[in-house]
Amino acid sequence: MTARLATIAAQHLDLARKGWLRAPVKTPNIVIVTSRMIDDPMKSPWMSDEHDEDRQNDAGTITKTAPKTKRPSLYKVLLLNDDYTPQEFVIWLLEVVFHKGREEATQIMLHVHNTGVGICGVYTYEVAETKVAQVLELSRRNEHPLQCTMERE
Amino acid sequence: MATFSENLEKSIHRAIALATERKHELATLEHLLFALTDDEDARAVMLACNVDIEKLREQLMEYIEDDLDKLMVEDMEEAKPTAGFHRVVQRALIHVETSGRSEVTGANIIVAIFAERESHATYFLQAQDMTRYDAVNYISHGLAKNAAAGQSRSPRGRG
Repeated sequence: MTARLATIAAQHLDLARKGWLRAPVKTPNIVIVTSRMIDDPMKSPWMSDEHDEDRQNDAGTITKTAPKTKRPSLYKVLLLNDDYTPQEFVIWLLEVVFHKGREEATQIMLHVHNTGVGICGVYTYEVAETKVAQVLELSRRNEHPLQCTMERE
Repeated sequence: MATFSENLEKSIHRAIALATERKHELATLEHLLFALTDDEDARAVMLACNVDIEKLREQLMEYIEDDLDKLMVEDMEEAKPTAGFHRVVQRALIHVETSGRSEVTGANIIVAIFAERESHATYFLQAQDMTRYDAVNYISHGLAKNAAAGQSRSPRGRG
């Protein structure tokens, strides 16, 4: 592995020197990892393990890609079936919290009733979490055991 | 008991007004972050962390207009803050209280936003290479990533 990368880098430099590569040369971003860094004595127990992947390989040369920030995922809000919550309450909840029309609300309610679980909508984490809390709060206040969760899309 | 700075109070009102204006039933962290781009204390932190505030505002506005259209409701009075919004404000308040200070500012809110998971507000800041560490470093010691925005600040105790 080490030898190969070094050869590639050398080839790049060689070509560049000869002027064969016109575009700016991209030399691979090489980070040398010594065995001492693997068991990092400076690493405190509460340091994040995010960068540990880089260190799993044995001592040698690795290429490191800049960590790209990932766009946050969307979450679906799920309603779970139970034998005590009245159908009318579920329909009302879907209208009030998820702004569904009467017809769509009835369909979702029946879906939950028949299959055990149904999707009320897909939202960002922040919004999904708030809707779940609203459902649970309204159910609790009306003393219905309705359960609501969220799941990554 | 710590209180909110006048600037921060105005910013929180602006965030809720922005959501209400757009008929969004909920005020999210993105509404809050947008409001904070006009908050003096929060701006200083973002500038020190090399954030292009104009670009951030554009991205946030695009997100608020396009991605949050699901939050549009016809009849509503005032947008309600999301659970995450409440948590961020609470987190900043508790931090300020436990460190023995008396005023919560927009800067504390920026730091508190970073603890939220899967948040687009954090994502937009991270996309500009800003980290929580950059923010606390600047707030604590005036050490800025952007040298021009650095301030010399002497350490202070609780007294």
